[in-house]
Amino acid sequence: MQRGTIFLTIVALGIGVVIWLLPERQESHDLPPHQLLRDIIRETRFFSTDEVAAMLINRDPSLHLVDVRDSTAYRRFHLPGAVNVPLADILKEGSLDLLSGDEQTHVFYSNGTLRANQAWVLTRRLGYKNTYVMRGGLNRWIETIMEPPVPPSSASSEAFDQYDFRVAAGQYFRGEAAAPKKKVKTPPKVIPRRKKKVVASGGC
Amino acid sequence: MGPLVPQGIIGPEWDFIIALVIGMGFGFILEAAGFSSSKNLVGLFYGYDFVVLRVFFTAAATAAAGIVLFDYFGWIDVEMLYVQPTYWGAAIAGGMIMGLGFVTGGFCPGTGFAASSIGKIDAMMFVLGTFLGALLYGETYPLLKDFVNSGYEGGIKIYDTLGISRGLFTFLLIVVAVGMFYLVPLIEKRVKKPEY
Repeated sequence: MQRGTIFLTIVALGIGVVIWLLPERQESHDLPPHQLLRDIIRETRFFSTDEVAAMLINRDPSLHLVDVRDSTAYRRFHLPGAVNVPLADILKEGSLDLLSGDEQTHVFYSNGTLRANQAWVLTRRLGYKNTYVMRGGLNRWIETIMEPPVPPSSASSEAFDQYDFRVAAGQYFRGEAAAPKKKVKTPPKVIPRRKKKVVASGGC
Repeated sequence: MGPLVPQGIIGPEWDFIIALVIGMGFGFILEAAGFSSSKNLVGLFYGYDFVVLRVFFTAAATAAAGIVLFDYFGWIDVEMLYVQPTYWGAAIAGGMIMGLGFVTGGFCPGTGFAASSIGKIDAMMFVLGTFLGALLYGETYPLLKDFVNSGYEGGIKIYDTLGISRGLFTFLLIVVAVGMFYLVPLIEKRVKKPEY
């Protein structure tokens, strides 16, 4: 037998023994605070009400709305397709299962931003990645989508496009037929959505 | 610090560029290692050439040892690596179809592309068959859906299932790989490589 083969065998087995005897590192799987901070200050964790409305209208199958208000408020009004997970129940087994789909975009909302943010921080610490917050919550939803303010006549054309979209979206969500005479611009075709991570799969 | 992509150190917009570079390197190595020849590849099934087994065991043992050591040094966080979820039904049926295709076609998907890039007509037919198979699968997916998703276990790991430590499992993998390197030449000596 060649000396090189024997040498390589000894090296390989030696590395194997070292690996076997390595102590297991004890680490908490919670997100460390500095990483959590980095994620908290990142703007991309927010969805605007316009983005959520566009995704709902386009029936984006990846959108998964999570209403973190209590069940009474949920029964009174909630966004179409939203599931109700009150903030107090968010750590329960069944609630966390709802967030486990990696291919879905889980968007928390409450009346304002605060409770949705709290839900976001909790789930983020537990390692859920595709969770987002609808900024402004239902209050801003009413202000912007259901009752959008008319922009001043000096506003930019983007502001008017946005206003037209909001009016159309408001009609859509109220279930009204589109106003026949007034020309309603179609919502922008570009759907703002987060890039999905493409998971490399194996194979030879 | 690692893994680089899941932590966002390398953004998702680089995914395709990284995939392109790795893919070209992978194809080049396959071709350089003689994996574009179906005679070398199917030798594994007839017992005259175990180069495929050697390469894959080397890759598995090296990667496993590297990941454990990198994790110990704190260079990567193993918990953040993606683990392909286990579906028992699909894994068993897919493995059998893959093996059957491998021994009859003489290539596995990656080597089929490597061989067709150097102009092998049988490999081009193999690649065409791959696409037809993918099309057939896509068209019949509604019928197969329940079976494909059966036996879901999530991202389980073999050392958790066996109840041993990761280090011990890696050690055993290296022992099996080294043992294989000593055993397969004995088989290769007994089986005569057929002349075509």
